[in-house]
Amino acid sequence: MISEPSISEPREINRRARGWLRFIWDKAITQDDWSSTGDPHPWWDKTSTAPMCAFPRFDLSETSYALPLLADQTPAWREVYTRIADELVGRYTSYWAAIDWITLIGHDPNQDNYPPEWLVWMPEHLRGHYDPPGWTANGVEPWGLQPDPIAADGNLFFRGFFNLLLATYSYVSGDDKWERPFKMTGHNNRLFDWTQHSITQFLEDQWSERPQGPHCENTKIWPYCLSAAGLSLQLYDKVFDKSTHWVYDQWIEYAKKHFAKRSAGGDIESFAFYYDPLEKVAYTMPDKLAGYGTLAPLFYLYPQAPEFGLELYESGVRQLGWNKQKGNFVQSIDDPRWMTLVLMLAREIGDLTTEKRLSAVAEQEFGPDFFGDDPDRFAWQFGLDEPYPRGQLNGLMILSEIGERGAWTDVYTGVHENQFDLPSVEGIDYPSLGVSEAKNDRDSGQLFVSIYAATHADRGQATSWRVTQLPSSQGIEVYCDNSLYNDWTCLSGTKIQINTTIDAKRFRVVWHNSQSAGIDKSRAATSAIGATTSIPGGSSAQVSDSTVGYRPAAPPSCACC
Amino acid sequence: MRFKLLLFFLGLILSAASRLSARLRGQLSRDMTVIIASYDGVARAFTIKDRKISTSSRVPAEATLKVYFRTAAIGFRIFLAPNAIDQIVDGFGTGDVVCEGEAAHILWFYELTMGLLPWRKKPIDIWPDSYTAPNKNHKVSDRIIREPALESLDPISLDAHKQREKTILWGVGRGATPWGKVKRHKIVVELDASMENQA
Repeated sequence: MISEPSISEPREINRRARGWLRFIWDKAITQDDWSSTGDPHPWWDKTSTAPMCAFPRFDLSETSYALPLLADQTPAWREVYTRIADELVGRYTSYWAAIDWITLIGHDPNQDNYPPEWLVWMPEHLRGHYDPPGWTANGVEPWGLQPDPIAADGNLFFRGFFNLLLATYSYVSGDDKWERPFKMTGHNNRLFDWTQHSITQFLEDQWSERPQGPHCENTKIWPYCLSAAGLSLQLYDKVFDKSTHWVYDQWIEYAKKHFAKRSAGGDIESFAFYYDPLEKVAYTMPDKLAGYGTLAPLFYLYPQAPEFGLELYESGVRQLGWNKQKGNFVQSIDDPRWMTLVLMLAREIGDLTTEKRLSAVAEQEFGPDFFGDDPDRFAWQFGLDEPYPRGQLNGLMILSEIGERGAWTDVYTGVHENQFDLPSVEGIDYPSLGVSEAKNDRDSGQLFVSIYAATHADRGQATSWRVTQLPSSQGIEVYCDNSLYNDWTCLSGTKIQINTTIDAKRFRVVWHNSQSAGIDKSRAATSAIGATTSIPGGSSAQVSDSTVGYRPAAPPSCACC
Repeated sequence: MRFKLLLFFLGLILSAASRLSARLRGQLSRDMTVIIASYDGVARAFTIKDRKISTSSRVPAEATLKVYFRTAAIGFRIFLAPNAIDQIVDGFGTGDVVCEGEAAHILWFYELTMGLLPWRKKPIDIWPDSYTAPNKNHKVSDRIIREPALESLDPISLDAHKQREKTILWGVGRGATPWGKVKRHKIVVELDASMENQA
């Protein structure tokens, strides 16, 4: 037995995040029907944060946010994240993704029939004769009916969140699948051709001429959604080495002057939830409750404008009193979304006092749970007696469990190297086997891989997986739990297969030695930010499996055709 | 006594306004009872039924919203304070105000009441660079398909009607109670000391 002392400390994905990944894998790959005649599987969350977010596409977006964080933890293993992201993007092209734009046509005929808890999301003088947040009102004057959910004067939130999902896909996968033309389902099942690049171009061009920000619903402008769209541009720029994000920088300056209201002393008193340029009204909650509006967009805004974001954050948590060290914790709005967002932000920013306090509330009240008897799947139950955990709320909450402080911002500012050019782990038999660490140490020429039984029932079964993109399979040494390991075979000049059993183990593959020193470090350095490996005008170097888990559209079923 | 009188007159005003003001009736979509009370003996019920408000000093045991002030004096002070919402939120933390029901309903009820003040002004925010009509000269305009305005979902889109029925927004607008709400939400969370220290 040969022992190797120079082994780095593992930085693994924790058990909760593994359990959440296990569940979103199930959700993503299980076939369901998002067409005009079908229904998304009930585990897709279309009820949280009504009326604004009670549509299943918000679950697609929020489920995706863990993926880049996970990918940064295991940059040498991404196939599962890629598959999940691909399935999310695929569903986002479907009828149910745009259900609001397609079916909430005209002004809501039920404007005077909303319950009080929904009315508080509108300016008081408009209540009872105003479309609520979430009602997209496609077709109203002066905009007319706009059948394409992407190419529209409004509906910014649809294309902004979609673009963020697409950029996330590029970031985790490194392939060009969604850079190629695909169909987007619109009004009456009409299909529209788009690519990731053309959506980004549309966003940039439209926003460049509308410094106030494009509308979401007809006709409300939300910093929350604009900031998600801005984040999509920021990530796009990092991945593709482009410069589209200037439109958000321009908007931030506008927002500082208009969306933010300051006291005579210069402190931020509020940040509007939304502005309606037709009604000429900015909506904020009164007094201290304005803190909710101030904090709302920060999850997306902070990585793009950290200085202004910090100012908003401090104002918001102070107004809500969430940064107090002692005393009762007050949450006036009965929706855990707000706390999940602020907990994640507190951790991201390094506000330890608030993080500790919110974390304590979450542990006590949110019901972290390995699904009863199932040790493999994890989610918070949020006090709900429902068959499936809430995707939107959990998708946000899990972000506080992955990576180090600042990990969220690091994704969008391009701090992490992607390692697409380095040895990679492939062929993992997920969900039987999982990977909690997969990272190359470029300098020492070693790949560290920690595996675990993602399905406890499969523990002990034989399995194998591959290490590809080795500079050479000659001179390779493999260690398992710090001992030399011999149960592996060479598949080609750059690929080996490791045979093992499903269990918790740590492997180390030494790939850089005198015989395999040919890795091009200059190439590695220049590709550390850009994730794509696509070949201009040609096929992808690494194309994901085809999306199969959803049914995006159905034949037109209207009486005329 | 002052708090009792305040609630009495508030009831009269709301009762009359709910019969005269279409704006107010537009906010009274759900039959419900709101009780405002103090622990030292003042109590008044505001009952909304068929978009009309009635009021009584005899309060039922069950109500959608119950707001208790620690004393009538505190209730009076908070109700008339210009920063009443601030004080209510602070009161949750200190125990001066206790809410049984949704805190959002307090905000709604308070703003509905304040909206009746004759000197209340409608807020107007005119911001620069507003986009208030389609601009066909914009860079992206050739990509946007603009069809004639539509006031409602086309009756021939049978699938669309069926799918819309499944959305919360449509269902609640048609009168359903919002489903999927967090049921065990606590407005005030008393953290276990051990938990607070552990975190």
